[in-house]
Amino acid sequence: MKTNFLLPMIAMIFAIGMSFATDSVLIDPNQDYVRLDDGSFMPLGKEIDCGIGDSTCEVELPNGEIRPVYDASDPNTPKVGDGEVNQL
Amino acid sequence: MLLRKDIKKVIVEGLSLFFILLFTYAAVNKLQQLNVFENQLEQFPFIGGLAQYIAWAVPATLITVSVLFFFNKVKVLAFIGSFTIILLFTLYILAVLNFAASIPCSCAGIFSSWSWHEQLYFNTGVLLMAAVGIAFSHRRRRSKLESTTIQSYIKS
Repeated sequence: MKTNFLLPMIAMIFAIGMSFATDSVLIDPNQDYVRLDDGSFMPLGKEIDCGIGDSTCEVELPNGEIRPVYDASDPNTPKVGDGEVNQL
Repeated sequence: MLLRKDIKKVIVEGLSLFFILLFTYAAVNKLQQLNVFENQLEQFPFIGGLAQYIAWAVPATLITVSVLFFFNKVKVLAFIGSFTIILLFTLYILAVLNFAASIPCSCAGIFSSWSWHEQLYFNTGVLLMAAVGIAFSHRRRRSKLESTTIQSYIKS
């Protein structure tokens, strides 16, 4: 009976520890971001509808530059979509 | 070919640990950022209006199912619960991808950095695992009941 409880209890404690230990990225549900040349992120002020697909989602900025879109101000959150370049 | 009883037991125990890890991790992650999770859900098609209830219901359900895995008598129920949760989530993803006017960020899923498609593939695998858990733990429980009945019959 003791061992029946021990393993699940360890697993649960481990999972709680993991969720605190992992540095979870706060995905912004209200707007997307683009990465600038200096590595900083610029908010776009709205969510870009990238469509469905596995291609990189890109947006054309007012100055004509085309840049990949990110879900958060984090390089590990690139957005994917149908591959079409979206207008801002 | 029939699997031996002890192998089935190991598989059931392994799957139980996997679901405890998965559901507890997901639930605690949501509870850590409850306001953000609620905000994310508000942007979701079909369920946006119920965001404040769903934001609490999801982690509560996940933790309840995780705790059910602690008890051998209700392990089948825990696997059925896991199967139902993942099935509902999978059907929702399919509905969003096929019928929603705009696709929201996939950030409110089990792993926030995964795309909808990645979550869909992962869910398919987890559904299969839950189905195996239901089948194996159900048979184990039935064979246990049968052996108990035979033993009590022999004693009497």
